[in-house]
Amino acid sequence: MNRMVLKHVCKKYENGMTAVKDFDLEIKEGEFIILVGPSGCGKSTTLRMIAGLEEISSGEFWLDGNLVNFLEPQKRGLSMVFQNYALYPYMNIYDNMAFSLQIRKCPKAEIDRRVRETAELLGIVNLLDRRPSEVSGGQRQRVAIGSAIVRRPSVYLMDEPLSNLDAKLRAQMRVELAKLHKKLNATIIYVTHDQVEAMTLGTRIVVMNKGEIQQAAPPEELYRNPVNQFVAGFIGSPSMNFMDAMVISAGENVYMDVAGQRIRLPEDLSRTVLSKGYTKLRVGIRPEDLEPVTGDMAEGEKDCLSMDVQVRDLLGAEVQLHGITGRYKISVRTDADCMVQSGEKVMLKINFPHMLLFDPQTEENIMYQEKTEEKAV
Amino acid sequence: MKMMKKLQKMFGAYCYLLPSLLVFAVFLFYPFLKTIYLSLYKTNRMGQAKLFYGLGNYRDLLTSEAFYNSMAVTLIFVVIVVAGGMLLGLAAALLCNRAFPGIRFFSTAYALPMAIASSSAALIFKIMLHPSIGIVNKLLGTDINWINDERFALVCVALLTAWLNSGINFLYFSAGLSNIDESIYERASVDGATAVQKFFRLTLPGLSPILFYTIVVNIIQAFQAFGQVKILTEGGPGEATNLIVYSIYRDAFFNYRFGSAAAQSVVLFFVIMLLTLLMFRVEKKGVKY
Repeated sequence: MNRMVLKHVCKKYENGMTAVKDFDLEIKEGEFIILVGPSGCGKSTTLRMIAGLEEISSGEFWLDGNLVNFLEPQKRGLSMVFQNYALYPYMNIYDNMAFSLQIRKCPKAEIDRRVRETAELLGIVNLLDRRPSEVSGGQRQRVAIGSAIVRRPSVYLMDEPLSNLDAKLRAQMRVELAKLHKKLNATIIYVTHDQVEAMTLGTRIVVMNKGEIQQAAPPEELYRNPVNQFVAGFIGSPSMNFMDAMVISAGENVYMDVAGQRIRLPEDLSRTVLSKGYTKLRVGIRPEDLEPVTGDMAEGEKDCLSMDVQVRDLLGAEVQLHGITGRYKISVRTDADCMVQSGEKVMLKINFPHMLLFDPQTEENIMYQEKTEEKAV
Repeated sequence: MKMMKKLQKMFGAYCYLLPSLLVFAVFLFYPFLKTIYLSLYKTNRMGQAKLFYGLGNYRDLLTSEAFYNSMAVTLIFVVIVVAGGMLLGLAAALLCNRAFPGIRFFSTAYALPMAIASSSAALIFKIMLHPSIGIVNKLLGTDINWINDERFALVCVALLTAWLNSGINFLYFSAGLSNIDESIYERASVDGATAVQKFFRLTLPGLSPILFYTIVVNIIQAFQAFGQVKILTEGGPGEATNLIVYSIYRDAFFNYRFGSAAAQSVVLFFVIMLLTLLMFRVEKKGVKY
């Protein structure tokens, strides 16, 4: 049993700055929780409060049914991987990994067995007698993870462990981490600002902004059903296109006036918009939900956006087009066959089922579907 | 032609070295050689070598009880000063290694002994240790004649010196501590290490290079302590605080036995040199990193 419950956890510094506001989350055993958000959003602070390195200003933190707000980090039994790895510079890799067992007076043979086993798992057996300063960044990162897992705790805290690695190594380690999570069947709380890591690793992602949780949901749901404009814009790359629109109802049809172009809303959307009485909307469309249509039929297509292409980025299998429509900068993601060049005008067909509408005032997603699962928290 | 160029190049290099070599020669090499020279002679009251005595001065020294006493006293003194001074400095540095209100005041206070001249400190201690009006006896409720009692005199001088040295040690250790990455302590906390374990497994190894340096400097300084002995005890009571440097001073300028004093200086030189070499030997094994 390793249930963690955070109730209204706040972090306020002495200078009056609030780093974390009203953080409410329940973490079940075996979850891979990702705390994600722009820098300074309080995700690392939250992790450090869970670890016990940072005092909780108000609120409650329950670990296995015990209130542990004031429990020292030594006694929480968690293990943590730091962003800078925090390896002990004057011990060799072996002792670095063995440290947490040595200070627990674990029998030597047992320590040796576990360190070697872990080293094997991470492929660092040949480094054991080296000093941290003598191994590369990627290896150091493995050592840091190894030092954390050698003790076999049931909860791991990871603070941007991959941020210091180069892109290739990062991708590789991401896969390793996912495998490790399966193998250890442990709870992992992972801080990152990299949304690829967040999307690929997490079983649940907690998006934070300005110290507050915006949404906590599994990756697919977060992507398709974001609670507000911030979450929608933060998850996904290139980021979602946002455009303000006027609502025009004409007879049975409801149209949106987007950047001077009139687009008819599908029936289900029209009903929602009408029932809530919106006159202004903010439209959110992901770059892959805009499809360039070419040829003559494009001219007749009513419900299309036209875009002046400014940049065409070929990324191998896909092409990203960046351009403007009206006064909005938008991007489009499509496959590499698309021959549209920069300087051209292109019509874009909207994939309506994936289109999102936001309230321009509150920036809430007006089509957000609340999941029952979340209410249980 | 090539030879000339080579010579010129070499000459140029020595030209650059010349000024500092000159200073060294006047203030270090000449006195050093002169000391060795004097140690082989009997001298007159003006300190001029008069009668070649060979190794006689050394033979006299090594058979004199006073010299052995002086050596023994010095060794005890050095041990107390080095251990005390380092512990004081380390403790102060550890206390000041975290931020709290008034930290500046405390760091200044702990570093202050560095700025106090040994003679003025000795004068203050003399008053504090005074048997009838001294504050030490008042506070402890004792009636001890600290600096005139053979049992306490050496310890008093040594502790005074330890305190004087603790200032600079505090500075060294503070610098050393601030070099240790804060996050390894955080990791150790999460790993489950207690404060004591953190001190022995992280702080001490992290300090080891500076620790070594401080030990060497402290030993050398302790061997050369003079001012506080001169003012506080003048080598007494009896020979209880007759440290080697004080003994040299007394032989040379009171007894006018410059030859003997020079021989003691040479012996002291070798003792310090041997100790330093030994320390460097130990360093290779003991200092982590």
